[in-house]
Amino acid sequence: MMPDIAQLTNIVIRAASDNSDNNSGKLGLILMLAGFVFYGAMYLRYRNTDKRDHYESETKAETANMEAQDSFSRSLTHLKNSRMSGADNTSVRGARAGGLSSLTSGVLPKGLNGILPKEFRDH
Amino acid sequence: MPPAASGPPPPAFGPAAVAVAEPTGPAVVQTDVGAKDGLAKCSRCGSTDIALNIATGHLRCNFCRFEQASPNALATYHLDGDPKLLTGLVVGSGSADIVPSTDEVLTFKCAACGAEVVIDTKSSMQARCHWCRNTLSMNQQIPNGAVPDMILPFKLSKETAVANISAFVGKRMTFAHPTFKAEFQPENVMGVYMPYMVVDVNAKIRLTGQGEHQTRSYTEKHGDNEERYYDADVYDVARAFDIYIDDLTVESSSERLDQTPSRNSNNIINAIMPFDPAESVTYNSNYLTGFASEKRDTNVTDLAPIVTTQSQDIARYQANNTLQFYDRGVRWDDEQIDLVGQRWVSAYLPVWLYSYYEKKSNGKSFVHYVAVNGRTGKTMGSVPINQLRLLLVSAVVEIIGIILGVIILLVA
Repeated sequence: MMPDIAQLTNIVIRAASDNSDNNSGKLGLILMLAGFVFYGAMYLRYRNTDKRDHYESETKAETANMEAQDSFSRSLTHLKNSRMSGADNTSVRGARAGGLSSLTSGVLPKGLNGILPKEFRDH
Repeated sequence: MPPAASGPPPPAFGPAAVAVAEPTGPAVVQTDVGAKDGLAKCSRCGSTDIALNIATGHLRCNFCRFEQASPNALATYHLDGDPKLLTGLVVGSGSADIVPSTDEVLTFKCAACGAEVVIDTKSSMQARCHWCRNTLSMNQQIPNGAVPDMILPFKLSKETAVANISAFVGKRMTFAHPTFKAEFQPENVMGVYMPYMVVDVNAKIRLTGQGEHQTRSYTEKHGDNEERYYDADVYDVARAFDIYIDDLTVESSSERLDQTPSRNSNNIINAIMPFDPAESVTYNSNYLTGFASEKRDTNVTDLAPIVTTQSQDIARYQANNTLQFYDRGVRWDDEQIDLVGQRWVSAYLPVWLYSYYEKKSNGKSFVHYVAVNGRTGKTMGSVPINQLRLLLVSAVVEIIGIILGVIILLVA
């Protein structure tokens, strides 16, 4: 139960705070979504629509002959996001099920869908 | 070690160290050598009443209690070679393409009494002679996907599976549908051998893109609010490496491959992986005695795109071991995979499955599964929800949240 609530809480915190400092005002806004978060957490706990085989990390694999190339390109300043835009080095494309996107596939009200980070929204 | 921000440019990638083999057609490894259909008799007493003894993992004669171990399938057929040495496409004969016109219902002549006995391979690989009560088995491979290259016997007893399912569902009773609660009977769990493909891959990977490393984090005050900002260095990043993947396992039943949560709960069966397919034994229908089985209905060509994409996912995760410097992430703009070698072996893997048919008020139906890995005991399930109760409690939580939120906003 705890991981589900933690994941959902993380989504709401990310959406509401937009990577800025948490303050009382934003905590208040998050609390106003408590019912939606509770519903989503319970839905996932009972239906487990987000569960899948984590083959990307659990399958035995070995690498060899690693060649690496890293060259400085430029510096960026005054960025609002703590994560690189479009970063996909931890994304999984071959899974046929699971992931938090399943949370929004017709389960939660559309209004909540709008505040979720892009990767979790319905497509 | 962080990459240098200046200095001489690093050397560009050279040509691939090993030429990629062009597949000229699969090399087929025969995995039903010596297999015979019909009566499979106990070597000590001649009885055909033989079944798996879960406690030992061996086949046991139910008449004289004689036990016999089956050999490891991968070692027997030399399908356990190092993935590093794989070239081209290697398939077990039990993974051969399904010929659509092949009969699913086969007729065998009972060698004990001469009666004709029918086996419907869609759901069973054995039948009992209605005259002399001997068991007839199908062990030879025909191109209908029924007989795999190997089978992984159940290791977890039904009692343990029932206990796991009871514990799993027991923790989810508060919002469970009342009809489900009334009808839940975990002892109705069924042992099912599900069809899978177990794949080894030898591939060359090339990834190119950009990564970001955070250099500074700071806050700025805008009126009453403080906003956090970040500075970062951007690098052009590339990785090229060989990857050797061992026992990547994918479902080979088209029904189980469909894992759309709004239509089915097949993701539950997917979630109880991984298995330990390296422990599989040579196929023998007697392992299926007392269990159900599902037949493979997909071919290597159908599953190849899934395996290629999953291999790329595994490669991307492996590359992350060299990307710790890029704490803001890496965006791969180009990914190339060259498959040097692949080895496909079909397998029956053991699943304890409790299914519940939910008839919804709108007339639609939905089958919920609670599944237990027949080897590891890993349990996952889908429990029907009492939506009215959950919505009411969520509404109460929402009201309390709004009240607290308003109080905090007013105080702030």
